[in-house]
Amino acid sequence: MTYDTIFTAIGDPTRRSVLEALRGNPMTVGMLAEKIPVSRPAVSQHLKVLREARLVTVTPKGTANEYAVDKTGLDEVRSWLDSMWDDALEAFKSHVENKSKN
Amino acid sequence: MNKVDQIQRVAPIEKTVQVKSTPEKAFKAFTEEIAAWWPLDRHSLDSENADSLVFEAELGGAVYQTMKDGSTIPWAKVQSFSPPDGFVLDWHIGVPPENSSRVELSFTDIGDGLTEVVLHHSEFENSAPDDPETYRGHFANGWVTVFEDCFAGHFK
Repeated sequence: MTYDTIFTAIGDPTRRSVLEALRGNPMTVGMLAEKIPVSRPAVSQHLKVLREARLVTVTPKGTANEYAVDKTGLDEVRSWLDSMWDDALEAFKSHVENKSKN
Repeated sequence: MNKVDQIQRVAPIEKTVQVKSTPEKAFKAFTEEIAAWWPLDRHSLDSENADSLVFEAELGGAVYQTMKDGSTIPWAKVQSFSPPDGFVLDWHIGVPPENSSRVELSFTDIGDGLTEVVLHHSEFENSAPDDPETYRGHFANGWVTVFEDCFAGHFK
């Protein structure tokens, strides 16, 4: 489920640091590794998870890839919450009204 | 530049539903009886292994998902509790509790045997302290900052 992917992605403190670092500043893996106290391979691994959750985008820049925050995954979180409440309130209404018939 | 200003521009989710019931019964149904109706199969984390949902109906109580293996996943904490008028939750499913969003429910008798239930899910208002320094510390690692950055202006 895509939302699990997103929540897993943002549930990790290092990945949140990565997202925080990328806010408004697209960066390469090397730049991120300098800014965040983890190794380059670890940064790459975190970026992979974030890409799968559509929380970051990657754009080739010369010989390196540049990473930036991607709205897509975040749009999904909000729209998921929105539809979650629609579903939940509908189920709630039907529970309350069926119960009061008995 | 001012993060707090940006946060206030993020649109809350608002939903209203009318139910044929009294506020007392509707309030109880939403809290104590949540496991009887919450669509856990569609709206939970790791839904295949989810077992139930618990709402500790009291101030400071927790809302959490229970799993088939006996473990639990926290969803929220009851921040205010005023039956049958309403309650407020610090909603932190999938994020650290300090980055909670706010879910507020109200139950109002509108006559003709109907109760109006209003849900207000605001992402950040409740989490933004007045002091910008605290605010920075609070959100330095938070995905909500990213969330806010992307949503500010998109959902007015």
